[in-house]
Amino acid sequence: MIMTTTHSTQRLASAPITGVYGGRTGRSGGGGPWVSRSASVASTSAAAAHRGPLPAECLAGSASLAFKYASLPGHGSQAGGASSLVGSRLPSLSPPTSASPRLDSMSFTPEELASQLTLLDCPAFQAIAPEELVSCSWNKKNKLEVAPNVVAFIRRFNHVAFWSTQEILRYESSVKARAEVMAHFIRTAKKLQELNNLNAEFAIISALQSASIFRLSKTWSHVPRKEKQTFDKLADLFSERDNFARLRDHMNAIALKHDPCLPYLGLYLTDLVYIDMAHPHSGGLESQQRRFKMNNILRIVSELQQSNYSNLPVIPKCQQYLKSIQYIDELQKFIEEDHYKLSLKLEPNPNQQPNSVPSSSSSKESVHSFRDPGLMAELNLSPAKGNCCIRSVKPAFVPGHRKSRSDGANIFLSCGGSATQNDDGPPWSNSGTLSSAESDERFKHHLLDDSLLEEPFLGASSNPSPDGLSYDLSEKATLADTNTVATANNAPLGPGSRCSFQGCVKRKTLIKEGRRPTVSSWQRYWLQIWESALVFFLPKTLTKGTERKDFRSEPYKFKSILGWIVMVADTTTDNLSFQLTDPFQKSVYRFRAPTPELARTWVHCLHMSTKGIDPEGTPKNLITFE
Amino acid sequence: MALGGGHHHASKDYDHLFKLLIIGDSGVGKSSLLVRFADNTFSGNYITTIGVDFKIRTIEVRGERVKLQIWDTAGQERFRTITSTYYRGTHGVIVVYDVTSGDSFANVKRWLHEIDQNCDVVNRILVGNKNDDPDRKVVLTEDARRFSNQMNIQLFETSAKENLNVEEMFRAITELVLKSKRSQQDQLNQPAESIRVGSRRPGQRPAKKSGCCNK
Repeated sequence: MIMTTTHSTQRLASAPITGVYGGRTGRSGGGGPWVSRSASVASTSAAAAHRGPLPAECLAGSASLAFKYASLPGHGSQAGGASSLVGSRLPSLSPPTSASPRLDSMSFTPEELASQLTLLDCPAFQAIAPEELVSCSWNKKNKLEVAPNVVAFIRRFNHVAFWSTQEILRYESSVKARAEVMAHFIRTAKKLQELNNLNAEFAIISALQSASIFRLSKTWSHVPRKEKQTFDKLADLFSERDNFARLRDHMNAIALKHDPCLPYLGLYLTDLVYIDMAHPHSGGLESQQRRFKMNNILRIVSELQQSNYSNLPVIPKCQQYLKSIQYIDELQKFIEEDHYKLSLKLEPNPNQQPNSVPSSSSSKESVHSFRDPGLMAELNLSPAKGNCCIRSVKPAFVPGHRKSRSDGANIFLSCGGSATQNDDGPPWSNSGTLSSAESDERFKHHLLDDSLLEEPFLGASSNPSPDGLSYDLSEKATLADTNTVATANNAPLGPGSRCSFQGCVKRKTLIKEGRRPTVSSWQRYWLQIWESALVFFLPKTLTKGTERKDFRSEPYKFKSILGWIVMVADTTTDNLSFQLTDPFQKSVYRFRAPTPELARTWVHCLHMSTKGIDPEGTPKNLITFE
Repeated sequence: MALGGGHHHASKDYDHLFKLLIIGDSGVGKSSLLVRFADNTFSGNYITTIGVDFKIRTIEVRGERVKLQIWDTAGQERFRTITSTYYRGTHGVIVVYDVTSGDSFANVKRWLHEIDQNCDVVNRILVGNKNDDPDRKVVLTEDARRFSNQMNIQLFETSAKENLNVEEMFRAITELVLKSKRSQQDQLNQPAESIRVGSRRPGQRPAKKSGCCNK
C-alpha cells in the first residue's frame, strides 16, 4: 500500500503537461487557479480603485469590505444588480488585463470553450498532490497551506459555474437571447463530456441547475428541444442518487478505455472524508484499512492525472477571455444571492406581485443580515468573527419576522414558483402551482420548549405560547419595563422591591419537570436577586465578559424562588457550585459562581430569598429612591 | 419480509421511505453524525464500494418501519453543486452547525435560505453538533434556541463523538416527516371542495407532492 503512495507521488510530481501549458494557465490572469486569496482580492481592489467612485449602496457597510465587493465585475451595486451585470461588459468596467472587452461566451464556439476550459483545468488537476487528499484538510482553516491545489481546483469549478450563471443572467432584456446562451452552455457541456472534462461539465450543469437559473421557466421554454434533452441527459449523469452511481459507472467506463479525463473531484473528496470518519487517524500506526482505502482513491486520482490533452489546440484569445473573468471565491454566497435576485427580477415568481413584500423582503433581509458579517467571516478580517457574525445576524430576527411566518405562507411564496417546478422535473414540464403553508400544527408541536420560563423573551405577546402557558407574559413585560429603569439607574425599583445581590453566574439545567432535559449545557447569565425572585440577563456578546456591561440590559426571564431549596455542592471537590431545586416544578438547576467566596454569598442570599427574607436590609452601595 | 401488523407491503421491508439531506458548513460533523446514526449497519466491510447502503437505515417509529435514505455531500462543501436537483424529492433537511464555531452558526441562516430557494416547504431540523466540551462552546444554547424559535425549527444539540442526542435527533426529523406525510394524506382524503387552491391551510401541501414519498 505504501508503494502505491510513492508511486502516485512520482507520477504527480512529473506532471508532464504542466510544463507545456503552465505558462498559460493560472499564473498570469486574475481568474487563474493559482492566485492566492489575498492576491486576488488585492488585485481586484486595485481594479476598483482604478474605476473611481463606488455606488453608495456599497459604502453602507464596512468601507473596505464594500470596496472589495464592489470590485467584482457585475456585482458592484446591490440595488442595481441587474444593470451592473450589463455594466461589467462595458470597457470602463473591464479588468485592465482583459484583451478585448467585447468578448463574451457567445464569441466562441462550444468546441472552443470546451477545449480551452479543459486546457486550463488540466494542469490544475495535475498539480494536486496525494498528501493534500490524504490530509482531508481542503475545508479546514489551514487549507491553503495543506491542500492548496485541491482548493485551487475546486475554485476552477466554482469559477466556471459562476461564469455560466452570470453569462445567462446577463441578457436581461431578451428571453430569447437568454435561452440562446443557455443552449450555448448546454452544447459546451456536451463538448466537455466528449473531452471527459467532467469537472467543467458538472460546473456548467450545476449552474444550469442552480436556484437562479433553474427557476427561469420562461427562458427554459425557449431553449430548443434538442438542447433540453441533452441537458436532461447530462444532468442525469451527475445525479447524486445512490452516491453518484451514474457518474461512478461512467468514470469506470472511461478508466477501462484509458481515455484522458478530468474528474469531478468532489466524488473522491466525499469518499475520503468517509474513510477518514470510519478509520480515524489513530496517531501512531495508521490503520491498515484506512491506508488501503485511501490508497485506492489515490491510485484512481493519480491514474487520471496522467491524462494528456496536448492534442487540443491552444486558442490564446479564448483562454485570455476565460482568464479575464474575475471571480472571488470568498464572495461566492453574495454573488449567488445577487444572481438570485437578478433572476427574480428577470422572471418574477408567478404567484406573487413583483413588488409584494414577502419574497423579495425575505431575500433582501437575509442578504442584508449576513452580508457584512459574512464578508468578515469569509475574509478573516475580524479576529472575533464568530461573535460578530452571530451578533449581526440577530437584528434580522425581529419579532415580526416570526409572526409573518406563522400567520401566512408568505415566507414560502418566494420559493412557491420554483419549488413546484423543482419537484418533479424541469420547469418546462411544470403545470399549475399550489402554494402551501407551513403547517401550523408543526409550529405548535415542534418548538423546542422547556416550559414558558425557558422561552426567550421576545415578541412573545404576538405568539401565544404553544403550551397555552401565556399567563405571565404581562408579568414579564412589566418586569422588563421596570427593570430597564432599575438597571439604567443602578437603583432599586421602588418601595418594597429591589435587587439585593447580583453577579455573573453559569447555570445548567439538571432536571426539568422531573426529567433530564434533552439539551443541557452551561449558560452564562447576569443574575439578580429581587426579593424572592431571580432575574436573568443574557450575555450581550459571545465574549466571555463577566461584568454587568457584558450582559443585556433587558431581562431574559424571571423566576420566583420562594420555597425553593438551596444546596451547596460538595465543597471538597467543587466550591464554586451550588444547586437550586424547585420542588413545585420538580426541577433542579446547578449554578456556578466565579469564586468560592461569591458562591458562598450567593448561597446565603438565595437562602434568604427562598424564605422571603431580605438578606441584609438595604445594601450600602445602592442608592434608593425612598 | 412484511411482518403483518396490518401492513400489506409484501415486497417491501419498510412502510415509508424518506429522503433526508444533511447540510451545513464543512467540518461541522455531518458525516460523523451519519456514521454514528448508521452505526447499526456500519461494518468494516462496507467500504468495498463506499456508499449507499451505509447511508440507509430503517428505524421503527410508532410501530411503522421507516427507511431513511440520507444524502450527504461531506467533503464537497466548497463546490457549488448543491442545486435544485439535489433537493428534489427531499422530505427532510438536517441543518448542522458546530457549537464550537460561531461562523458555522452564522451560516445556518444562509443554508435555510438556500433550502427555501431550492425546494418546497420541507421539514427541517437544526442541529448543533460537537456539544461535548463546554469550554469550547461558543454558540450558546439560548442563542441557538432563540434563533430556532424564530425560524420555527426544532433544535437539537448533539455530540456524534459522545453519541449524545444523535438517535433522538434523527427520530425527531423522521417524526416530522411522518407527520407531514399524514397530514398531507388527510388532505387528500378530504372531499375535493374542502381543498382550496392557494389557501394557506396548515399542513396543506401540493397534491402532486404525494408521489415523491415512495418512488
